[in-house]
Amino acid sequence: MYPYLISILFFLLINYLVTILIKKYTYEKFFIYTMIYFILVNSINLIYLESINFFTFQVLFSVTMLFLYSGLYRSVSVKIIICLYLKKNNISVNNFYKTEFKEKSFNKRIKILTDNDFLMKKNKNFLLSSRGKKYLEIIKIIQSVYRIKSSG
Amino acid sequence: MNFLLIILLSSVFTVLFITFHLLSLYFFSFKKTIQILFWFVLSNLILIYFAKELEIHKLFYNSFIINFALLITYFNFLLVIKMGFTLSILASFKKKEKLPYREIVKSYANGKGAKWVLVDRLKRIDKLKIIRLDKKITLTPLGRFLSIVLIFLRKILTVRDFG
Repeated sequence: MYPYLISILFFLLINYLVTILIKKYTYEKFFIYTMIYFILVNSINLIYLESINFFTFQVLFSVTMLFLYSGLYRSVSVKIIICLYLKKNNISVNNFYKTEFKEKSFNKRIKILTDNDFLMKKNKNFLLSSRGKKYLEIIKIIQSVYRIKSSG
Repeated sequence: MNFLLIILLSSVFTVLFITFHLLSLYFFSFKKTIQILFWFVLSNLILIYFAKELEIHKLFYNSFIINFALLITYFNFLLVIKMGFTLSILASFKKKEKLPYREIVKSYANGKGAKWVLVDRLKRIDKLKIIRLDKKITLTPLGRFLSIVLIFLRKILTVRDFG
């Protein structure tokens, strides 16, 4: 039981320290951290403990952490719920759309896409970069395999 | 050796599970993401049968946990390609290569617009009784409790910003 608990506490503690050391801690950085942690812990497990149960636990724990973090960091619904709680007042849909959603979610995503070279801004227009075009092709293929006509 | 056998069992599960899911998409009208649970159970039942035949059923329990992790991954993958917010912005460029900002807002999600995604998510969480959606949005007691849990989880994982 102890190795399981220690590994969880260690994961959270090191994650906390990493957030202090690294300035902008994004999901991508959390993903890299989780992967490194998973490989290191399982290397120790394979050499010293040789426990299959511990290995399977680590697989489930890492996947859960990755998707939990992703949801807490990126989910629109989570953002709405937390925003409403922090505002403490009722808010109209239009007002919420203008003040919170469009500015802090939609525009932010466009900025992230531009910063990560998926989109380019020329004058007042946004264009797909070569990286963006590649990703769009992959998205089209995956969506056609899963018969998804429109996303959102 | 046991590690490799577990990975082999989970690989067989992955092939069965994804094949069943794709077949159900093409030959039956199974379109809801939640229906993959049926294929998850069926694939595991087939796996347990072969594990018993090959006398490696003790390893199946470990494999099942990995299969469960695979289910979470696959479920999230499907959600992203169906409902991904950023991915949908990129998909707005399917028809036109050049779009001004206003056009991106309008053409989001196949012309439904950016406001649609907000209303859609609000309707979804309204159905779950997390909010009350009239002219104004109000958190229900369940919503308040959930937001406290979410804030607590964000603190534990030190999530400082929204992406």
